[in-house]
Amino acid sequence: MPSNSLHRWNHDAHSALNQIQIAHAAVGGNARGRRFATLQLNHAYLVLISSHFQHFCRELHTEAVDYICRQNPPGAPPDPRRDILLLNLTPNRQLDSKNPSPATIGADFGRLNLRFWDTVKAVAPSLNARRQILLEQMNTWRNAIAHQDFIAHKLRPEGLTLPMVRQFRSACDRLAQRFDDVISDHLATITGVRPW
Amino acid sequence: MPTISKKRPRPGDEVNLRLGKTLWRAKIIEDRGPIGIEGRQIFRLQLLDGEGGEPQSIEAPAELLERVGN
Repeated sequence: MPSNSLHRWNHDAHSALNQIQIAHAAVGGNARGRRFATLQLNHAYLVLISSHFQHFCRELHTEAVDYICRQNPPGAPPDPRRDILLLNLTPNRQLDSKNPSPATIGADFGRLNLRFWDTVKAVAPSLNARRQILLEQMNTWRNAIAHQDFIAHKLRPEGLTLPMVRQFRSACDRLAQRFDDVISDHLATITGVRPW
Repeated sequence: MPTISKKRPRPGDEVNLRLGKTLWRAKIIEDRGPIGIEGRQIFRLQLLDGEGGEPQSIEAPAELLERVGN
C-alpha cells in the first residue's frame, strides 16, 4: 500500500495531467495556428507537472513528519522529544515556497537525517541519476516559462516538444514511486514500524 | 479572557496548540487537508508568541488544536 501522498499523485494529479493530454489531442488539424496552440499547451503542461510534483513532495514530507511526531495513544506516556521535532521539522521548509528541484527536495528530506538522493539512487543508480537530471531540466524549463525569460536559461520557447514533456512526466512518476519507497524504508528504520 | 470553541478550526482562526506542558498561541494560515497519517487533518500555523526573530510557521494535526473565540 502506498502513502496517502502517492495515492493522490497517482489519482488526482494524473487525472488533472491527463486533461492536458486530451486538450493537446483535441487541437488537431493543419490550421496555421495549431503549432502555436500546441506550443502553449506544452508550456502549460510542463508547469502543471512541476506544480503537482511539488505538491506531492510537500505532502510526502508532511506525512512523514506527522508519522514521526505522532504521540503515543492515550494512556501511554507521551514522548516530549516528538513535540520538539514537531516544532522543528517544518519551519522554513523549502518545498513550501520553492520549485521541486533536486536541491530543494534533498534539503527538506535531509532534515529527516537522510542522504536523500544517495538513497534514491541506491536502487537502479543510472536510471534514477538520469531522472534526477531530468527533474533539474524540468525546473529550468518551468522557470523559463513562468518568468517568460528563455534567454537567461539558454532555451528557445519552441524547443519544448510534447515527447520531452512526456519524458519529464514519466521521470516524475518513477521518482514519486521511489521517494515513497525511500521514505517508507527510512521511517521503518527509525521507528521500527513501517508507516505504509 | 478568550474562550475555547469546539468548532472545527479554519484559516484565519486563532488557536491554542498544546505540546506537553507548553501552550502555544498560533494563527491558522493553511488547511492542508486530511494528509496526515491515517487521514489526520493537518494545519499550517503561524506561532504568535515565538521567542523573537522571524515568525515561525509549523504544521500540526487538528487534534492538538483548540480554537480560541466563537
